[in-house]
Amino acid sequence: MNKLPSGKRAVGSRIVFKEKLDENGQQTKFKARIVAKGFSQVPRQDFTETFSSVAKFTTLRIFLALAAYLDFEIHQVDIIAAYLQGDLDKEIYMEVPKGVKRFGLGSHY
Amino acid sequence: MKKALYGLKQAGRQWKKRLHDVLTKFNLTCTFADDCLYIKKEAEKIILIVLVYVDDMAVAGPNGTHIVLFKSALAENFDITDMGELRFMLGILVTRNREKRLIYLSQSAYIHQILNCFGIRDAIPVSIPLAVKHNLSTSQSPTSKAEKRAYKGYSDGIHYLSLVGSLFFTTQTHPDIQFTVSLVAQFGGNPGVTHLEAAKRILRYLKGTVNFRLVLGKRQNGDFDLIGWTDSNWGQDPDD
Repeated sequence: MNKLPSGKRAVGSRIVFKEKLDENGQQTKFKARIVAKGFSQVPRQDFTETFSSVAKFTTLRIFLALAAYLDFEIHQVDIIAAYLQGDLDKEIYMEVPKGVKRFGLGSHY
Repeated sequence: MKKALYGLKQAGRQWKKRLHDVLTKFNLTCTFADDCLYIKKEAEKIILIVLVYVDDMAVAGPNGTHIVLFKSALAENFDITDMGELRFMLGILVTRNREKRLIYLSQSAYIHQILNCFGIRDAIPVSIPLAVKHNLSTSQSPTSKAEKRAYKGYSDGIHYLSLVGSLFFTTQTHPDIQFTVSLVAQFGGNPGVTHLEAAKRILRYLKGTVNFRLVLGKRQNGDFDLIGWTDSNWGQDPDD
């Protein structure tokens, strides 16, 4: 944790709690995730491009049709906490969420 | 901050960038047709196809060992859950008949969900998605305040555009409703009672056809030829 350098702004953050349910609506686990308050980000300062492409459904269908025709194996992989893996190309500071004990130099990352 | 985080505006983009770099390192190349489709070739033959949907990936290849290798290489870079053979992607249930080289796509779970959501679980199914009597046109859109109020009363909390959106998504495995859905969508700007009736009729049609599946793959012996019809019947379109 660091002090916020002068002239810099920090993005807010909070913790989101979630109850995970199984198919029968039974509670299986509790999840907590720290999220940034992206709505407080300033264009050009905190971010520039945000567009990210996703596969077209047409592509999914042709992919499956081809795999069926050629009798390919098809497997599925899920990436855990994908959004935590991206690298940042902007210098961003974030406030520590409320309720988290602060230690070290200050109240900001 | 060192890494992207949920909620940051650029989180999605930065993730895609990172994944792209990793996939490129495995000698997978991004196709021209779709940024999210990656292909790996060896001696002019395709050995791996990877389809990316944010954090969900489908991997196909002629040889299981290539897939296993790909998954372990991926696991060296990210934490992954190996879901095994593809069963369920983007709300679509995928079943196969390897012998006939066919794949079946079903959205029945999603359809049940929207039937509940729009409160027509107990409605009587119909066998045709579009009724001639509706003869949809913009003249059925409400113009006066009273008409708007009447529509609001009739719609009973149903959001027209969100219904149309759900129907559009169902179109992925139900080409049989494509025309009707796009027709109904034309009135999204100012829907009237008749338009909503027509949109709800599509739900009733779906109720009767929930278990229809889209079949993809090899042409079977005895399959009929694909025939296309066109009916440019603008003369009868009340709006055009």
